[in-house]
Amino acid sequence: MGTIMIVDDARLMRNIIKNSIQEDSDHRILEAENGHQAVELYKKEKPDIVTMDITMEEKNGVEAAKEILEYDSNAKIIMVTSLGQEKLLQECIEAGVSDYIVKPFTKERIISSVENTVNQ
Amino acid sequence: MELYKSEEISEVMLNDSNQDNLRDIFQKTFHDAAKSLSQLVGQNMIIDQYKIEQITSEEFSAQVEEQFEQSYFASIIKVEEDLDTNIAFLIQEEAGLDIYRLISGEQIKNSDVISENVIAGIGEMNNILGSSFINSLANHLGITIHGIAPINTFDMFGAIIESIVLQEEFLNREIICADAKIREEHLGGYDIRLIIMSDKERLYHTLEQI
Amino acid sequence: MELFIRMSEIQVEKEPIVLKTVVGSCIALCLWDPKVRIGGMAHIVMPKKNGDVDAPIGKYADTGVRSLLKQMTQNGANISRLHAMCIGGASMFMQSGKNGSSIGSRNVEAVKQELQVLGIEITTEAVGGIMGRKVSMNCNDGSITITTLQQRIQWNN
Repeated sequence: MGTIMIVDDARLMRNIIKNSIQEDSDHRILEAENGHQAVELYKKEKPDIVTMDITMEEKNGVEAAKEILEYDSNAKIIMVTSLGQEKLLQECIEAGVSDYIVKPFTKERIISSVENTVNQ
Repeated sequence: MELYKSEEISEVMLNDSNQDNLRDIFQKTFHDAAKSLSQLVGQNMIIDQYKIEQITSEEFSAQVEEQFEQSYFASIIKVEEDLDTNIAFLIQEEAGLDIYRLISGEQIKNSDVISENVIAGIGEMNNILGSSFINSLANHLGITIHGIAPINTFDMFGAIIESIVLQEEFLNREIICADAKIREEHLGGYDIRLIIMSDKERLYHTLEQI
Repeated sequence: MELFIRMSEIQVEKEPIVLKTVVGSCIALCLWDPKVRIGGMAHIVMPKKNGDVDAPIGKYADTGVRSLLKQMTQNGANISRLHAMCIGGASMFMQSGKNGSSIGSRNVEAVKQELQVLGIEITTEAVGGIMGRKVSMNCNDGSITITTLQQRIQWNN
């Protein structure tokens, strides 16, 4: 069991990700609504894995991911992206995020991404 | 490189009660296939070495990778309803052309161009060999087996192996692989391979019915 | 020096090393960054992971592309500069495909989808057909050689 922080400005999306993860295992879940909160909460709680939406107001996912990786180069971040965000995704990969999932995604895809990232 | 040790049996299968049974059946079946080949080419073809093992696609592929770039005539027969099995006959290019000359009487030369007729001719030989193999397997297992019409090709060994091991019915399953090498009794020389990939569960299930 | 890339293997090299493999229905995905002269090859076997928990990461299109890309960027490659070469995905035994598309064409589709999400354009493509391909890539100059036995067969018609 570990701690997973879900970062997304849409509550519906946070719930989808949370339910998928909790159905599979009993990870502790933290939530953040924007990039600012995400960076703050990361420093405080040091979650094992972060799922990070790319487009958010008040610091988007790219900036937040970079800041978290600067603070902790071993941070494990899974980006949540969609078609049309290629450039932003490229930036995140080059910054060293662990994985990415593409919207719309299946429950299995989130679970396997979390598992793969835990085992990295 | 010596790929084979005679009658090598993988450790994984040693404790399995089906193992002796399976080895016997495949051995007899391979011999029957070699017998038909002998009749066809008018020479005494024997099973030189063979092995049977439980293996993954990657493991099998890694075992044979030294031959990957060589060109082979190949024919594959799929058996679906009765037993998830692929039966492949592979004949190295020069050996295939030699045998084609023996069967057809045509004096074709080794050249850069292989005609479709030659592929079809060698395929036909493979079909006869394949049918005899399937009949023999059906007899030894005491079941009816229907093979799907064989597919013949001329391609790189590695590409052929990929198409044998990467079949939907083998995905994420345990596979039994029987692999035999045939040669002429006195002359040797022919590089002919018979490779059978079969779903382990279904094969064992069938064996238990006997 | 030549390195043979087996099924499910991923290799990234900086030196003038030649990565090579033989593919039928599998895909040899080659990436090359012309500025830092780094090349990588993944021998992708299947489109998607499906329950096969212990499978190597390079086996599937989704995890394989990610892992190759990650190794490239960790070695200094820049994604926007990458040349992508997608080779393989043949359907050698087409007649036997009983339902839907072959593994070969599904592999091609899956690799292309992954590259599309990442915004990586395919610069060289040799996919489909019924014959296998030998592929080699020089990691220093990014040159690719593709060989098939196609031209050695004279078809009747």
